Amino acid sequence: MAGGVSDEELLRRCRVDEDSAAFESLVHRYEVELFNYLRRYLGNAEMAEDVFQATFLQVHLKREQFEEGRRFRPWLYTIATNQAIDAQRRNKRHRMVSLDSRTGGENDVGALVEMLAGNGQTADEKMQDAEACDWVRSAVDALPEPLRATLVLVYHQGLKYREAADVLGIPVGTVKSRLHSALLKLNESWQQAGPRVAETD
Amino acid sequence: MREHLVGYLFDSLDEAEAREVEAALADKLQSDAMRRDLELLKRAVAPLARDRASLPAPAGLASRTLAFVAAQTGPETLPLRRPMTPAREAGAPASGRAWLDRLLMAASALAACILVVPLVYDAITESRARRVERNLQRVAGALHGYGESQRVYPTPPDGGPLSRAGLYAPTLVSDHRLLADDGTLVVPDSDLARRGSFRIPTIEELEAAQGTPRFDELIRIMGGDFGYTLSHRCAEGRLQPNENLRRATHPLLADAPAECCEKSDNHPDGFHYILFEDGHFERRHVDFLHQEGDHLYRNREGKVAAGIDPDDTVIGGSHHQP
Repeated sequence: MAGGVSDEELLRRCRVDEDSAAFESLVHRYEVELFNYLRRYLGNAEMAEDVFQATFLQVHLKREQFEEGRRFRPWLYTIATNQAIDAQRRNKRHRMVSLDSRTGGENDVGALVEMLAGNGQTADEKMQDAEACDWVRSAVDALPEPLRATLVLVYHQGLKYREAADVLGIPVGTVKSRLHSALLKLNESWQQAGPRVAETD
Repeated sequence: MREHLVGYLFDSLDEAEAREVEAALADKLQSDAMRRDLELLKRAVAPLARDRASLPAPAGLASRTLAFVAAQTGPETLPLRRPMTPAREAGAPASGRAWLDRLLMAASALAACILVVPLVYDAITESRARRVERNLQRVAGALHGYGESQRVYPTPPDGGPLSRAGLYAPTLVSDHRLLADDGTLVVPDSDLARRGSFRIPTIEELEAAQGTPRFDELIRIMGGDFGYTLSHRCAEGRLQPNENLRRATHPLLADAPAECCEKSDNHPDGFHYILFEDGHFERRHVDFLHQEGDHLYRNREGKVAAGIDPDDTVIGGSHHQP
């Protein structure tokens, strides 16, 4: 019904016309995508479901605050991320892990590339079986929260740097450095644990 | 340029930045090193692709969400109004055809209501039940943790103004096992939920409020929508601590009783949630609440007070005294 209508137009109908069908369309449209984001962000499907519901409650309550000209998707992710942070606080699962002190995208990419160049075999080449999928997921889950959030938004959810920066409320440069730090940490852990994964083959 | 490579790989750059990278890749002087770096980065992120596929959302998530939003925002905002038709907007006079249209629309709407309302009601009921059960799991975990560390479950003092069933909640908050304001002790659509911003008071707040009308209010609400065991008295009349004997038939916490102390009004469907001493909880209909002469909200003497022996369980409302 609302297939060709933009998210922003659906929200406008919801706001101006109080069109319930438009709101329903938004919920259905983002059911899989947002649930997957929250599941990855929170590492817990049950919490992700709660936060999904809370997110759309906030969308409904704050629909008047949506500014014309903004894009809906980053706004939705901002609300969802804030709700997820609140949920983590309530569940005392918020991990207070200090960020890697590295800053500056150029240096991070350089360090990552140098490390990769020194390794004869990548983690992916070492991982042969389906267990690797679970292992990759747990490695991502183990990242410090700011790094994980950035990685999930940019890599898994496909947001542009600028959109991810808006969602997280940080400068674009910080998004880049966090992403690079995340990849560095993942590769460090893959290099350490990769052979063990390979031994199980 | 090098710092753009990851963004280029993930398609996260702005168009202008992406064009810069492509220009650099086409530049003979830079391209070899950049292609090498790009290839290494591709290999580095390749394992992530193993977990990139989306999982299906839980069945009915969207429906439950819509029902949840409807339940939370109340009848004054939902169902949302449909947009007016252009004819209505233009103030066109109603013709005979328009009346027929309206009649057909009304009939369609009625049929839709008959079909949809039970589904929406079911979704709301299911959403409520899931929320209550999750909250009970949290309370059970908090009580169990407290019981493990203190050797006994929270027990009200044997006298004084704070000797109330609901004191279990401030006790769990003081012990950092429950958050004061996360709504764990609130049942959806209850009076407390409708009032909003419920917060469990601290023991210090209760002590400071003694002798004021505020104290009576805090005492009445501190246990949230749940009642808690009033424990039992020994033969000498002393209130006994709530030991965890892991009894599967010994209620520890349940939906708070209504004023009549015969049932709870928390759930319109007449069901009651009861958390037992061993940590499991059950959902029982009011018809099966006081089986075999063991009244949930009164002791064997018919009083809303502590039990008269270790097996006599009484769930008191927040302000009830042992």
